[in-house]
Amino acid sequence: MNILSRKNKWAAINIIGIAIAFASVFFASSYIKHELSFDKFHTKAEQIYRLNIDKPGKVGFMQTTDNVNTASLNAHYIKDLYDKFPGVEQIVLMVKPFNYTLKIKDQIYPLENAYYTDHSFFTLFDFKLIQGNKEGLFQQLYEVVISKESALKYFGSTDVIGKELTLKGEFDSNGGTIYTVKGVFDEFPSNSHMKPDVLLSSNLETLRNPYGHAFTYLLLHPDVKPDQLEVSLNKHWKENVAEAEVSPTFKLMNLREIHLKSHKKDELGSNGTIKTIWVIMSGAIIILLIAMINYFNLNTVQLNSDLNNLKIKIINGANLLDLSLSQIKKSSIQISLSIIIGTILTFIFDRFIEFNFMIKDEGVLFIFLVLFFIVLFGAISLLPLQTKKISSNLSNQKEEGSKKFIISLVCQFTLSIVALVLTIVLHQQISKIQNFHPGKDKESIITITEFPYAAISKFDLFKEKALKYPEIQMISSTMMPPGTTPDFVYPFEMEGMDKSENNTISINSIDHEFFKLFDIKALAGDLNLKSGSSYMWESAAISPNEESATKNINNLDPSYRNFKEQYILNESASKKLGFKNPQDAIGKQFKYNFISPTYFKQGEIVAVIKDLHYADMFSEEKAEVIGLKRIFNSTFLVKIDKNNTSKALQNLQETWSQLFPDQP
Amino acid sequence: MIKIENLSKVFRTEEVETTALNKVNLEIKEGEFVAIMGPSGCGKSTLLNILGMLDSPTSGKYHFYNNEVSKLKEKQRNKFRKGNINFVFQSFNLIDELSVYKNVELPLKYLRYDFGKKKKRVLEMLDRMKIGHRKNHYPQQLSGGQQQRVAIARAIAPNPKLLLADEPTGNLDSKTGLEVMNLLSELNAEGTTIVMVTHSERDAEFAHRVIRLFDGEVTIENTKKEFAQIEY
Ligand SMILES: Nc1ncnc2c1ncn2[C@@H]1O[C@H](COP(=O)(O)OP(=O)(O)OP(=O)(O)O)[C@@H](O)[C@H]1O
Ligand SMILES: [Mg+2]
Repeated sequence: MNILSRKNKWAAINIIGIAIAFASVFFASSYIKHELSFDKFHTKAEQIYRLNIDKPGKVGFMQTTDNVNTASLNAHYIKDLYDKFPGVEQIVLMVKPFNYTLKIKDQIYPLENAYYTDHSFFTLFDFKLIQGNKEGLFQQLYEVVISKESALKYFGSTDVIGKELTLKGEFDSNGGTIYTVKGVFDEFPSNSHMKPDVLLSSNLETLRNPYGHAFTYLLLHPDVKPDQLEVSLNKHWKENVAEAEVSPTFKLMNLREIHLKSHKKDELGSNGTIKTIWVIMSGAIIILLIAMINYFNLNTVQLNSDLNNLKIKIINGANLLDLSLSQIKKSSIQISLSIIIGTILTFIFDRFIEFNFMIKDEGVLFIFLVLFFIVLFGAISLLPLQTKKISSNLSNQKEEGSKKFIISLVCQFTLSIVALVLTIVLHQQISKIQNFHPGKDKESIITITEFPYAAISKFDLFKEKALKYPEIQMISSTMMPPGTTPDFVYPFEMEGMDKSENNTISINSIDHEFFKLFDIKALAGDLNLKSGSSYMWESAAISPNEESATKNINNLDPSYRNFKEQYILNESASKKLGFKNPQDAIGKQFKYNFISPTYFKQGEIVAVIKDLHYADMFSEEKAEVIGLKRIFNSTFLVKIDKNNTSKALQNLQETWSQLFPDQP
Repeated sequence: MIKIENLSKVFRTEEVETTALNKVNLEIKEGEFVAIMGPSGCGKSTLLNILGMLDSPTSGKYHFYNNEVSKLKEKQRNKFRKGNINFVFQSFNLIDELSVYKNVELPLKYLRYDFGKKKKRVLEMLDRMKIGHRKNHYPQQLSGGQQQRVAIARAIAPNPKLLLADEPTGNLDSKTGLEVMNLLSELNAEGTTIVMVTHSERDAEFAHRVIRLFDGEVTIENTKKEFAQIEY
């Protein structure tokens, strides 16, 4: 340990530097490896494609440009696939049940990660059944296969073949449908773009229900070129099917590309991006370079201070090999120590970031990296020994090395700046998302979604009852769960803007306490909002027929009509509407032309807020108008006392089950 | 054993050119004990370094056992030196991080002695230098005389043909210096050729022959007898 104690500080800094580099490289490479490995484990992966639609236009009465830009497809897009395109060997559809609950004995669970599919699912995709037999699965209706995790959650065991569970839809008047468990599958690997928990048997006819949306996977014959199929699909659609509408473009995406390249609204899991891979990779490389240069500098400095000893050794017969060996001995201690610390750091980092993939499974990568680091840094530790050529300079040392030293210092300085900038950018992005992303990272706010529409009408009642408990501090509601982008995109009218421009903008709805709940401050204007329209008024106004809506409204008690429409813009919207300064938007008249023309009245823009960063790190933030409406607010947000979480949750549960006894 | 002809050494730095040795001729026979004397800066250490093949001359010839070595490459010089030539310096030149034992072991390690032989030899040398009881100490824990004895032990451990000593007593008091000189005489008596740079007339008396350098040139060469006759 003498070796370490001598140049203690320097060595310690370097050891930590290499440790950080090791952790970064280990982390980055396992992350990248993981990201690139998605869905490759399916034996047929090469031939499996998902059918998607790109650049959709107007479809049916939907004016939105977004709604059809989904990973799942309406059945009428695929109906001709079955007989008109011979290269398609197999088609697997997966349909997400909407608003169902799961009843097991007397317990009710929300139904999550569940899909209807048919027996072809089991032959197309690779996965392991730990209970049951793939043969004959899903030949009949009312069969269910669940994940190991779900089996444990619902039944406390994986030995559940033959057990029953009841699926109950919101509008089911009877007791629901009974499904029999026919199998339990091992969890899908973390590098699967889909991670279903519940698979429900269905048949093709039902899956092709024209009202549903199905995720559509095709197994193509090895000779079929996906681009050609794409072309003929599009051609076929244009010639035979297309109505007067703008036709969508069909795209085939290979199964293995979905994770990194597909960013539809309704992906089966959260997908990654290639950009993130690049950023993480360059970050790791820069950190590695800095550590390398640092280590080179350390060794140069140490060599200089050690020159006398080296001379003594040479005088006593040491050659370059001897000196190199003793140098390697010395540096291998440092490098080993670094790797140990680096490994620990990786685990800490992994915990901290929670990129749900398992570093502990990366044994081969780990060993490879350990060897790589030993060789790399071992070689670096020898570099100064070579360049200095001490042996030929026995009587006259100094100089020479110093030029290289300066060059490496300059390199290091530049790299440090690059790294710093990169870190700042990354940090900004991450903190932006964490800070503004409502509901993320804020334990005290509970999001309730996936409840029946009927609950929306009882929002006021729920709010009133729940707020009686002191632990429940505030309740608000919004259209979509935080983190998802709302779907509606419609034209609008804006004071001072030409009506004929026919621009569209997306809308979100919230209740008046939303901003208070998230503690969001206005960029301009005032966020002390008045409560908006009532449920009564909105039910009356929500009709595509203006006349009947107006009549309905006029039938209401005048007190219901007595509210002012208020609009809030996000920063992007304020820019889109042409305001250089958010302040300029305040007080302007605005009207949103929804399918129900009376639903959004003309009203004033009362505030501009920062973009809420619903979008991921790299996508553009959407221009968004926010109105105070409640009928679409299928997400309730409850702010509870941080210090009394369990009590608050208990009270919340109680209130909820009193009001909606059938919904968990 | 050693024959030097017209050997010169010029040091060039950016500003100045120093002629440290100027056409030196010299012959040293096996078994001799030669002292080199002269004022500071006259080129004594430079000569010793060239004799020890740590440095190469600018011009002239150097025959070591009839091999012309002055033009040899670094690597080949190292080979010649290894095991044949070793040094003792004024400043002892021990490695502080290594124990006495490890210091003495150093040249044997590089000569790839096997473990048992190495250990035997090291202990033998340490006993010989009467420093065996200190083998696990570090150089800083020893007195100057003890350190120099360790340095000598290390220098003679590989049993070199030629021992070069650059002011070996320079940092020692006269009593300890005397002890060191006695050791060197003993080694010489056993057959080791010794070339020693010194400022001390008393130390020079141990040598068979004194070479006097002045400004890079050999001025006087005395045999011991002649030397004894000259009065100062
Ligand atoms: N590496 C070098 N570069 C430039 N000049 C040198 C170098 N080594 C020695 N010299 C010069 O060569 C001359 C002889 O030096 P040397 O060390 O041989 O003297 P010395 O006789 O050993 O003196 P001292 O008795 O003080 O040790 C001096 O003028 C010294 O400045
Ligand atoms: Mg000298």
